[in-house]
Amino acid sequence: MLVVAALAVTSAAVAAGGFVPPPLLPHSKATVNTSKYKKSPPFVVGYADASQSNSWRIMAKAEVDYGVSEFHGKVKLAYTNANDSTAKQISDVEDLISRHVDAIILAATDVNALCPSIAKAEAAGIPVLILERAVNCNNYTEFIDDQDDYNGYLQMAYVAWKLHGHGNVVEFGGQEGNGATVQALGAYAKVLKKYPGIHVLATEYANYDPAKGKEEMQALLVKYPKIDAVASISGNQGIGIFDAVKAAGRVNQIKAWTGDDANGWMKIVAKYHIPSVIAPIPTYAGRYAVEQAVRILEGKTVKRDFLVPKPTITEANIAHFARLNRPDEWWYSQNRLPCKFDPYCKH
Amino acid sequence: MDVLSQPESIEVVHPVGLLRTEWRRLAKLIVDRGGIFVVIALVCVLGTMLSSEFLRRDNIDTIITQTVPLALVALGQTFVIFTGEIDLSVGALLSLASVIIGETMGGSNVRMVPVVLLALLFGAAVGVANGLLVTAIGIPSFIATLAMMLVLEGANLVWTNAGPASNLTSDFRLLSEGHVGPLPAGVVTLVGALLVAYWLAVRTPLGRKLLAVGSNRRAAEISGVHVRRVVIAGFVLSGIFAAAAGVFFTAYVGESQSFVGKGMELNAIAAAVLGGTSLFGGRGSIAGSVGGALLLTIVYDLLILGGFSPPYQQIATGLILIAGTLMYVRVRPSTQ
Repeated sequence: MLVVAALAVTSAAVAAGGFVPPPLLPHSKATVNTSKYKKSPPFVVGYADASQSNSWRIMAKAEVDYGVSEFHGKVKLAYTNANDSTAKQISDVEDLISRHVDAIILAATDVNALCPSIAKAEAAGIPVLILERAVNCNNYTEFIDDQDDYNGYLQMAYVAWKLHGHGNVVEFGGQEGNGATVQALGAYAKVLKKYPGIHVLATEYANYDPAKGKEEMQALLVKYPKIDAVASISGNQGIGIFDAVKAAGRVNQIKAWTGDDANGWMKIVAKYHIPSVIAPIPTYAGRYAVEQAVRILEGKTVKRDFLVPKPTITEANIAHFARLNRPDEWWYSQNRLPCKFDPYCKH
Repeated sequence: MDVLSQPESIEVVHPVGLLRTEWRRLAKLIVDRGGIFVVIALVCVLGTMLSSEFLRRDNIDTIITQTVPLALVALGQTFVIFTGEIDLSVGALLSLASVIIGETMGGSNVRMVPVVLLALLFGAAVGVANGLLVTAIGIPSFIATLAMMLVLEGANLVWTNAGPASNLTSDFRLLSEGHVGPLPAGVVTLVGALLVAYWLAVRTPLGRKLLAVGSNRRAAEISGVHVRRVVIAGFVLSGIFAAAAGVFFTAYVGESQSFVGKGMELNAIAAAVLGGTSLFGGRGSIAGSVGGALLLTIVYDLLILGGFSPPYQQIATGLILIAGTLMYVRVRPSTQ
């Protein structure tokens, strides 16, 4: 109910601002009969994490922990951390299988390499839920889908709307070659095909790093006297990009910004009232993963592709989402994550 | 004297050979006296052809400001390399210095100086630890400082969960974004760091001892140099300069970041080597290390101004590294 209310509030606010988000991309509506996985609690749910090397992953784990706590002892967590190593993650999944966990939540380090491990787990009667990072196989039970592929469409649609179809834009991907960056930049290109009056001056990759974002933007500001929009897939690198623009005294020149729901970026949008769309990458997908794992183990029918609900955030409704008293690395959590689970909540 | 028994006393004077020898002497002179700056000049000329914006005042200010963190780390690294050792912990140390600044400043200008001193002291402490691991326990510096890098990165994550507090003051940002008279703070910092490092390396006994230890450790020991202390001093200087880079970088970015220094150690080593410092120890150039850092930053800037995509930026940086190092390898004798 809270989620529905939040989405209603945000939709109204966004519509009041005038921007209408593009429709969601087509997704599978198939359902999965999970009766073969049905068993009695308590359940042991394995979580094969990619890493804990950035704040997003840390908050996603916090959401998983919170999700487990909501079941009051009915669920226990078996956690592994691959430290971004695919070889380690393959070994982690095999370890979870040999420990006979009841379900595995997998945040994959690689789109292909984990497919045999998924097959092994499923063959052992352990349902696998893919959390946020898509894989190039379909032998899992459910995909907890953050809709990363949609974010690029949302961001560039906003830019096109703000520029009325004409202007100069600079693009900032995250890590070159990584799935989220490839998807987002591909989406940018598809949207811009409909707007020949919008010119991409440069495409850079700032590795989600504000320092790199600032360095690259400083050079672009020297090279291009007229930049109308900055399309960054990441809010974290957007912090540095904005700093460069502010130092150059050109904030008013930029008519559209984009980013994600990293609190640092949302604070900038709120504080400086800059026109920006925020494409959330919900860390609370971790909590939904636990809830769906329990549904599967209770034998209930689930969707093959579970779309994690997320609001559309712009400057029109930013006040509802930004947390000025939280660190920049905090991520929006639907206002549900209790302080004791939130690693960025100072008691 | 029998000429045949002493073939080395006969000089074969051939015009082409003589010319080649003279060119080689001239090249060595140029390289030894600052070859890196000749390369920078050439790259700048190329830069003006690639981009009309290259020599604009704001672009030059930006280049110099962006050079400062790498130059500081490269200067510290140079002192370690003088002794024949290496310090891979500098990137992690820079990051942790940034975290210390963010976590302790609390938005108070009064705390600015003590907080900066705390970061520098921490850098020195890490340097002592590295030095002791290498000299007292005998772990090769590559392994010891690699281990220290892992420890510092882990400690960083345990402390901050990759989300350090960032309550900086606007006065603190002036360290990077401000001006001293007409000069940007970055220029003042770079020149100041260069002068301090030069003084340490050339005008103090420590500087001579660092090179002596790197040149021939046994000979240095015999001539009364306390080798262990000198090696530790090299690591302490590396730690202090890395922490100073963390302070400046934090002022530049405007917030503390847990991973702001990741990968900096390799760039710093590259800058030092490009500037003429020998990885074997015993030879190097303070100004050259700054020149190496400047060259890497200029190339990065030029490639963005020139509209080259990131893969080309990487290729160009690698090629320049090879070319720059080749300059020293071809011109200098292979023996120390």
